Amino acid sequence: MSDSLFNRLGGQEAVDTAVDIFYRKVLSDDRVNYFFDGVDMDKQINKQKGFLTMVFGGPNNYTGKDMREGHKHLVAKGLNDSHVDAIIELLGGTLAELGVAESDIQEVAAIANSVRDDVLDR
Amino acid sequence: MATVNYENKFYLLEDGENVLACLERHNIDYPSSCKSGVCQSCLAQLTSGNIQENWQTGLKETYKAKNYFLPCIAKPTQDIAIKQPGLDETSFPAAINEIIKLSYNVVAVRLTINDLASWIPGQYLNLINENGLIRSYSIANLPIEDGFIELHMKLYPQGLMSNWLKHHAKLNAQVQLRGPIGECFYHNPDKKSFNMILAGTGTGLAPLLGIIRSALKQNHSGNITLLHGGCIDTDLYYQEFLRTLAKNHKNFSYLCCVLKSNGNAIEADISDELKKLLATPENCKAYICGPEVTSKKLKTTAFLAGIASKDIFSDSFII
Ligand SMILES: Cc1cc2nc3c(=O)[nH]c(=O)nc-3n(C[C@H](O)[C@H](O)[C@H](O)COP(=O)(O)OP(=O)(O)OC[C@H]3O[C@@H](n4cnc5c(N)ncnc54)[C@H](O)[C@@H]3O)c2cc1C
Ligand code: FES
Repeated sequence: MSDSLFNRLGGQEAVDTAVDIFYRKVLSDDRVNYFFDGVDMDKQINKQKGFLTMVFGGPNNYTGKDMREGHKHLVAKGLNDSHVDAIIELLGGTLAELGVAESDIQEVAAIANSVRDDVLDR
Repeated sequence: MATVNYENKFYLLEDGENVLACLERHNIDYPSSCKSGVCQSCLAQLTSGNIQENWQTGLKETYKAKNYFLPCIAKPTQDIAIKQPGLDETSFPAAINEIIKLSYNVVAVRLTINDLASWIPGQYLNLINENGLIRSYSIANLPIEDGFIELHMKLYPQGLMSNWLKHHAKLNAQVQLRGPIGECFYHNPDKKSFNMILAGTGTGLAPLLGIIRSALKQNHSGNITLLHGGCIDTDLYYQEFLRTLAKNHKNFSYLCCVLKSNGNAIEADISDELKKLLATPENCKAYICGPEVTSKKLKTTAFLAGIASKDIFSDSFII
């Protein structure tokens, strides 16, 4: 297990460090931040921790069904490929800031990309 | 389809419906307030069926062990039976000792209770009146020091607890208290030095005041800055006390602002003021309390200013 992506990135501790940087980037980016208007930060931070754990390849209980259900209201508000691209870009930026190797960033982006169709409900 | 068995009657749950919504749809009068799993007014005990962990979010361990859960966030997929926990199992009798007018729409309610030590300043409690009505209020003072628990209650027109307090509550009236609840309080056993920023509007001042007095009592090292906001000048209350406190403690400062002033306060949006205060938020923890909409906004402001999410403590008064 020691060479899994999640462990290589630093496990739960890395998730906890990355989540603030990542969510701050999301909230400051006009391409995506309006999807988060009026949401509660504590709840979002927890959700984002779940998301980061998943894309880091860590132990999580995300299912395709959850992904679909969890984003349906955003798809209705116009969530599309360009927003998923932006999120993956911000994720990459977060990891780069934390000094993660480019090859690992690519692997994280690939996992994030693999749930694109579930998130966009197609 | 799953059913809820309550007081020997069976109620059919709709797809994705929570237990509280199901009871209400069948015109059952079950205690509730926030309907979002925060206030714990709807506390129930599962007497048969399987409990899910997320139904018990925020409950203390002894409650979890007794299969207590929050019906407003519980969405069972299998049959369950529930009952309302008895008052003697969960709450403690208290008496209304004093009611003091603090502003045109806020009163302080002072309660006496046998055991003052369990009620941590800044946490909230469930106040249960003689009709079984349950609402949450934050602890605004140092109960051990003062010999009573002080709550600040905003009086809402047509609010049920508000009206009870205005028209029916008498001095020495018996009430029940349950709790305390929540993570928003001063906790610094290692006596670390850090700066504290506390921001809130309206009766959001109540828990912040409890936290400030706790911190000062424990000789907090680091600056403590309170920012209290309101809509109009008269929304600001406790000003004399706070100004005196600031005079007597070098590391405490009191700031306030309102949206529309007639000259007695700074006119500003509290989020903007908070942003200014947090221009260089070094070694700083934020405490944010009050009505839901503003507290959400203030939390985000503090976070974007650079305060780590784990250093932001807050209670949203969800009505
Ligand atoms: C964690 C927490 C801590 C809190 N701490 C404090 C505190 O320290 N101080 C404080 O003052 N409050 C606090 N509150 C809020 C408090 O618990 C009550 O919600 C508040 O006092 C209102 O109670 P009420 O019974 O008077 O009004 P409610 O009867 O609950 O009604 C509230 C308002 O909503 C309106 N209303 C009710 N039902 C409807 C409806 N169906 N449609 C439209 N409008 C409706 C009423 O007219 C009224 O104006 C806290 C809440 C939480 C969750
Ligand atoms: S009504 Fe269920 S927790 Fe508030």
